[in-house]
Amino acid sequence: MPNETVLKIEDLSYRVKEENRKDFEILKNISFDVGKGEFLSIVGPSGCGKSTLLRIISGLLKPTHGRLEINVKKMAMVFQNFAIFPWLTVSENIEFGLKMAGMPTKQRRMIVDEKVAEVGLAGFEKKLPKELSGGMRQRVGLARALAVSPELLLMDEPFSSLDTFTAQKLRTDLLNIWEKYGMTIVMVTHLIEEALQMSDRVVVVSKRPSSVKQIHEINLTRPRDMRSEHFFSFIDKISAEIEI
Amino acid sequence: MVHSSHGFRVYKKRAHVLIAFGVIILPIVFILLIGRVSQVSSAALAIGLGLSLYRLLVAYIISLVAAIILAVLLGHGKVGDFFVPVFDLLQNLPSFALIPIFVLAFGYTNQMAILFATSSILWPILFSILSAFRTAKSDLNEAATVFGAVGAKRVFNYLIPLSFPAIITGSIVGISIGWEAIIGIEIIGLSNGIGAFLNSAAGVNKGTLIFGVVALLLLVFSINKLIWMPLLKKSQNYAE
Repeated sequence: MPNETVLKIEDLSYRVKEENRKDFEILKNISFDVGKGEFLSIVGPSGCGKSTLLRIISGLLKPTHGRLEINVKKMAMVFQNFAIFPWLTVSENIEFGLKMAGMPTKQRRMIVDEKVAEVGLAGFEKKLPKELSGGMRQRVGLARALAVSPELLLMDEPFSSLDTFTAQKLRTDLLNIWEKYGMTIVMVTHLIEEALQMSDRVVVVSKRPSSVKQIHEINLTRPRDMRSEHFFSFIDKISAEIEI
Repeated sequence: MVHSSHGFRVYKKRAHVLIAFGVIILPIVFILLIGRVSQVSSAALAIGLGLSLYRLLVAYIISLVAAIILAVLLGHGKVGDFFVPVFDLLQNLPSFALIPIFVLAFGYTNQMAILFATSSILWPILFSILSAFRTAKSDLNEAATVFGAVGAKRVFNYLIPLSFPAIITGSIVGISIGWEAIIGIEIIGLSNGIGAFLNSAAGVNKGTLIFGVVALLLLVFSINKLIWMPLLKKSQNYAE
């Protein structure tokens, strides 16, 4: 188990009330911890409430029951459909969080230049999002998140809207960035291979109302061989646990 | 690395400057020419047009600011569920029916004309902004929140840019309704402005009436070409 806890979730539930309908429960009694510098993935069937859980961690939603303890100051999020601002250029998108935090322009520009280089957006600084491909847009989304130097990075199906090759390249890039900075990452995904390739631990959640079914420690050496027997045995184990 | 603002580059092209120049000059030349060739007083026509344009401009600015404030404060979330139907109801009041109330309060004055125009310009702008808020993607909203755009920062860095295309289209509709309101009220009750000019010309001289109408059309066309078209083009950048 990790020594320093960044995120502690205890008996967390979330239900929504809709007009003319009974309350319905999306998350039920979820508990797990995330250690400092850990890469944790949450996998589960689609529509199970994984993204809702991520939104609770980010503070966008409030849990209806249970406790959530976060020991970091800076958090950032990468979205499935990028959610970059269409009216801002690549640079302006990347510096958005810094600008909101009131950082002076000069400092902002230095960080933007650094992130542009880091995620491979050099030469695209002045482009608008509509001029970029999906992969490039997600790079902007990633750079915008990295720019605020997050201690905890939340990722909501970050590679699901991309083609296979772009997604694979971006995964490798993200792993390099993670190794360089050592931030804590919580990623939601429905791709078991993706979770296994990237994370230290994989939390498997059930379908709605979601609860934690199993937590797997992925003790494979990095970079991971995605065709090794061990890798496949993990895939089989987790696949069997996921209810569709 | 260059981070220069690209905000108004639509106005900086040379071709545009030339068109703009021509478009500004056109109504002025026309008005001066009329003075030469007919009995219509260039000064009277120019003052009439200028006065109406001034009223329209003031009414538009008030409407724009009011629409943004109303939309931001009352147009979304739980408050919005209550206020949007209220706006809808108010919008349905025919503005001409409000004339007696405005006259009662101000008489047939400049303020009254501006207030009356505001009561019709406000709605298309407000409802455009409201629909932009409603159709905004939820993840964009979330991204703005996660990256710290809260309070006043949210208004200026997220809500206003988000609704920029809506503000432009709403303004184009609003301005055209505004012209109607201004000219209507000038014909009905005011003694100056282009509406009053046309009204008095109608009784005296057909030529004057035609010149007045053409001058007005040229002005409207110029404003459209000069201001709204470039902004409309720019607003395309705001869509994904």
